[in-house]
Amino acid sequence: MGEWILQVKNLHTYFRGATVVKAVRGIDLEIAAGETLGIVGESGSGKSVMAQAMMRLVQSPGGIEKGEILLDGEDLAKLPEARMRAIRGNKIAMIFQEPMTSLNPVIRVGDQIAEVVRLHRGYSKRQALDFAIEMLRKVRIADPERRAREYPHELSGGMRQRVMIAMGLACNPKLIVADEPTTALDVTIQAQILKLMVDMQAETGTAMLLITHDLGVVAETAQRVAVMYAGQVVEYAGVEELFADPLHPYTQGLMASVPQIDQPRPESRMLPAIPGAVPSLDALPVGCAFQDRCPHVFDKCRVSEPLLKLHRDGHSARCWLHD
Amino acid sequence: MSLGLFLLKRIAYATPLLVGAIVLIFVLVRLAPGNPVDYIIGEMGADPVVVARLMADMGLDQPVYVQLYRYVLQVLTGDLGHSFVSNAPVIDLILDRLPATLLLMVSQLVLSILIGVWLGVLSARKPGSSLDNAITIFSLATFAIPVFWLGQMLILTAGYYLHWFPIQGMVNFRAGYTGWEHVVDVAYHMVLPVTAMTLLNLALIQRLTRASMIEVLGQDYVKVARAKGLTEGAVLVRHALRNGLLPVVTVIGLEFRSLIAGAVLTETVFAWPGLGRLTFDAIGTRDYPLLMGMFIFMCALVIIGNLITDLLYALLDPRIRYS
Ligand SMILES: Nc1ncnc2c1ncn2[C@@H]1O[C@H](COP(=O)(O)OP(=O)(O)OP(=O)(O)O)[C@@H](O)[C@H]1O
Ligand SMILES: [Mg+2]
Repeated sequence: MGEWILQVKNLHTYFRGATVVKAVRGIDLEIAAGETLGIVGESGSGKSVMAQAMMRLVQSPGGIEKGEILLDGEDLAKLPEARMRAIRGNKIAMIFQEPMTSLNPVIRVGDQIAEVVRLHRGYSKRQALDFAIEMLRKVRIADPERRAREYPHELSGGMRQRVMIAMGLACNPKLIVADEPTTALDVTIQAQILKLMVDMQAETGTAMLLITHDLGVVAETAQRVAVMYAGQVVEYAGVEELFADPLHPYTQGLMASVPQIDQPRPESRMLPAIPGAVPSLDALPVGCAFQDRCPHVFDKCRVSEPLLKLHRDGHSARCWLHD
Repeated sequence: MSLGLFLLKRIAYATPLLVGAIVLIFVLVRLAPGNPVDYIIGEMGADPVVVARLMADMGLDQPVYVQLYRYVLQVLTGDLGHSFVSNAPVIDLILDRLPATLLLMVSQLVLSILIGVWLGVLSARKPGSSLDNAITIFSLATFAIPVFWLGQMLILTAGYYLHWFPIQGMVNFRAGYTGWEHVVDVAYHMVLPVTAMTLLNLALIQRLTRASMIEVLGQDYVKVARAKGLTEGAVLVRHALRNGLLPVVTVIGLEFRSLIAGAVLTETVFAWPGLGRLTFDAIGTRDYPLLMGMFIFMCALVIIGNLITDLLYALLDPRIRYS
């Protein structure tokens, strides 16, 4: 792809408490306009921290340690806070995992959407509310005039996630960061929300960073995938390429019990368990972070850390087996 | 449910409470030995015919339930009886002193809420920081000090030794100020009692605000608010505080009784001519009608206070209005 709208270069995000937790350790990513990049990885692999770092929202004692986040060539990591605020919710928006708790319980749904365009577009109260109703209609909520006046507790989980999507797309952002947007929903609702997101994306041309546990979701929506393990990208490839020929033993492990994309999926599509656990991020071993769980581990893996290396067109992996 | 309907329902709940309080005081007085006629004729005794006439005049020859019914009606129309000690209607005595007490109570309540919430938010923003620790020590200290001792220490230091503030009463009678000068004079007299009561109540409000704000600041909707690009101030006030204040409002409502108790103590220490002082004096002179009136009046005050709390809560939290 030619024009990247977002490039992440060597991003590190640490939490400096009693120990230093290296949640994100040198991530490189890029996203083209209108594209969906999937991020998969087990719990604790640093997906959410990376997403928050891209919006500069990691709260103390955490913070971006080094690296660049280039949005249209502008490095967000170095931007003054006031300039960064003008970008949040405007050029980059975020959709969170828990629709039940992501909306403020004491503010009307319409006002919560309106707030974004009042802030970034300078709309009047009236204009902003009309706009919010329009957005609710776009995310296919029935009777949007009435819903806009309701409070979050009057809406179902699926509807609330639609509201979150409306809120995220309000300013027509260049990039949407969706952190497990369907994980908390029923399976049938999941499919509806996912379809809505894909449709909205096609309509607006927004790029999307889609974080998920669910390889099925990635297969359906993403063009490219980054597999994360212990704060790093261990494999990075086009979606078909990755499913056809996973290079990293971790990716292979993730896919082992997942059926082919064209076969009907079983009930649970969550990542299958790989024996062992993610190493503690404040005391990583020397060498490869996956060494203790890897079925193909050999001497070199315990001595030095492999780099993310390009193997063929657009397919890279971080593994000594493919050196 | 509309707010008006909600309020009507609450008033409907409050009325039996008030009637209950009136019945209770009636029963208590009936249980005490002797009756008002004995009190009027004194030790000497009197002609049984006179006694019977007095009893009939006062309705004491009627069955108890008739007397109770009449008493409740009488009180509900605002007639709290007659003080023989002051030879004046009890309600007049109370209303005469009410403004002085309200002035003190409202000032200290407003001040302790403003300062307490502000300190609580400061604490909650960085729990465990040296600022938080300093505020915690301060509020624990003021919480532990009894108000009568604090009052006397203030009198001793700021009043007696330093001569900064008057230590007794509400106005300077000798100067006999009027108009604007009178207002300044009263404000000047208010400084010490208001300080004493504010310090006492502020601690509780600070601790509650801190605890509830720490919880609220960890909620998803606060992250969402930040991701919208709002300033930290807007996130705190518009999104976090409205939720964080809910438990604070509840507890202030519940603490209304001890607020009144604190007022009695403070007014006594500073010779403030309010209801607390009136109650204290009524105990000294065994002015039973006045004490009974005060009891019912304070019950009404607490019930009204709770009503205001409920209304405030419903205004802040839409979920309450529907349950
Ligand atoms: N505030 C924090 N303080 C210290 N460590 C943190 C903090 N937040 C996250 N971490 C650490 O960062 C690591 C990555 O967490 P993150 O939430 O990004 O994982 P994730 O991949 O999103 O997992 P999940 O799939 O469960 O959402 C974890 O090991 C976690 O312990
Ligand atoms: Mg996560």
